[in-house]
Amino acid sequence: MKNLNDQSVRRLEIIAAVIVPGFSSLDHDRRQRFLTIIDDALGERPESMQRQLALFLRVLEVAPYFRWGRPLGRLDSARAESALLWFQEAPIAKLRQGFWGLKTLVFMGYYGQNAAWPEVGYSQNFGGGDV
Amino acid sequence: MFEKNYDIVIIGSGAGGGAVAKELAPLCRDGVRIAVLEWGPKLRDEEFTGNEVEMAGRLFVESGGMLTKDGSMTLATGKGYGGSTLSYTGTSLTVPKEVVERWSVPGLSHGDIAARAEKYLEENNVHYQPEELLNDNNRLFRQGCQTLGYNVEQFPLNLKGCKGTGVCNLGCPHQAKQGTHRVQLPAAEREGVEVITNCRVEHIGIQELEAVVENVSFGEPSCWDEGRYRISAKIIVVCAGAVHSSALLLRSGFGDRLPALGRYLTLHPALILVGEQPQTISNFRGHPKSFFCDEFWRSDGFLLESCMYYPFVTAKNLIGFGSEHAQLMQAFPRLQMILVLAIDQAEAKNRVEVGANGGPLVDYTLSETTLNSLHMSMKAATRIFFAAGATRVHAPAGKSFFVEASQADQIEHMIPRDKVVPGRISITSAHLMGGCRMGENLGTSVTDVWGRVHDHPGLFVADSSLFPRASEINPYVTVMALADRVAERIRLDAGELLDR
Repeated sequence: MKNLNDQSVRRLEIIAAVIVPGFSSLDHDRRQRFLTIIDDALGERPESMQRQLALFLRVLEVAPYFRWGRPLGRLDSARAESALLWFQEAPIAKLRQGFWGLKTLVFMGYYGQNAAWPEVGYSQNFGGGDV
Repeated sequence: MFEKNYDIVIIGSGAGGGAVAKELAPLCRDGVRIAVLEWGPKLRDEEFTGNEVEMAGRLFVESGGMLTKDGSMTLATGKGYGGSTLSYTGTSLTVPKEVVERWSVPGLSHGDIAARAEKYLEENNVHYQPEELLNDNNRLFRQGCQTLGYNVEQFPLNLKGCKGTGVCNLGCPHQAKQGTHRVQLPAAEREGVEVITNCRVEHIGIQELEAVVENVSFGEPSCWDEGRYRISAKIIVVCAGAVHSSALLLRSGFGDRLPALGRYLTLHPALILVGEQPQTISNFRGHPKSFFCDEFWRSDGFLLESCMYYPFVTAKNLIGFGSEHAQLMQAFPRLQMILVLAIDQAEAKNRVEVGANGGPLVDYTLSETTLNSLHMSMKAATRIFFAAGATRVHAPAGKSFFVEASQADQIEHMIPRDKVVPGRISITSAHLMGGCRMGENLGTSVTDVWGRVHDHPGLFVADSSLFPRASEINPYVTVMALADRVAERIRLDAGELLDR
């Protein structure tokens, strides 16, 4: 990865598994493609945004300590969802926006792959004439 | 640095730049040298792959994910040979008379715009799709509106040879949309206009500009060698879209004498709403956008349009995550979608600035009025979904992830206003307008009614940045009509301007 370091990759994978339940069962190729899509997207953005993302990933990982005494990766799924939900509904706009941006990256990495199409029942037919 | 010399340079090749290029092209017969400088590449036919992430990277600046300064909205601005006409759906409406009256620009009449628009409607093969080509998603929208007594109209579309692949916003693989890449630019090139792709203009000076040519890993390489260029031109027409035209003029120093430059930006803030039908419907096949509902246009400041998007865009527009989100995504073949466009007011504080790297920064605040419109639109769309037979609806401001059909009589309670909060819901814009608005007053406008930049002879603007307020409809036909006016002015003034 050019724009994601190992720590960020690890944190991103923990969060992705909460945001998209299917992430945990991705095979190696799809997981790599997931990371590559996100890494490429970050490469188009200013370095300051990449730093903000790395920091935000860290905040998301450690924030649950204050409520449950454990990091995000060691919570059961209900508590992990609850922790992320707090950020989605946060009273501070920057936290909401940060979570929205992160969530968007995760969806891009996951649903932005053509390999995800069968799972959701989407397909394309360039031959057309289906309607 | 390479040197080039032209009489007229047009910056951008979308609806504005393409129309200006074609209208000025006959001047080439008299020896006038005209160039169009386009930031993006000319894609090869086989490069329209339908792959969502790949095409976003090929067709949009920052893959369509440019953020506003406060991070509450994403902005989609197109680039490439044809600009945003590559990635629109081809909905071809002429701006209503009452909107032009609200614009209140002395010397600009609705009759003039309508007459020019008519030319492009014909040139771009605009027509209504026959009933048998409308898919279920579109028909259900119409059905829901009609059941509720809401006014619903069919979109005229600029298609030729549409096969209904449904991937309009990812670029048509059959080139069926009659954008400037299919009609105006090829016509201009046949007359002798040169189109230079992969060419990014960095600075405009007095009768000259500086640009960089840099090829990318897709599309045809530029016809110019890679490198930096100084290009002289007696007439410069800026058509880079609301954000990039404003930013280019600002970083070139024009803001010092034009206090309105970059200001009065309007965005038609948009939401995508999703309802789930009990059975599989045709939704992602066929043209995605057949109808619009203007029932709430005057009363509540929003339009509703039928629409259909792709897995990633759909996923990001749903609020929430986890199992409910995944469950809705897996219902993709049963999803009905509605796009909301809020009609935002032109306010001086909403503006384009130039960031530290020279690129645009969009400082835009969603007003309470706009947020109220978005809230009202969610409730209206939810009623339409249920009237069309949806079993449940996902409203971004819903108290719960789904509003069930059994709760259809509790919509007011289920979709509260306090959940419509910037940063929480996914708000986007593909209709960027203003920044170089037309007018007479130097303090509140940038160009005159013919697109001439105040006090800068030979410098014109011809794109959606001219709009003094929102167009209140899908804007491309209006952009072309205004560009036609600008081209007419240039033809009339050409003798004087080219003799300088």
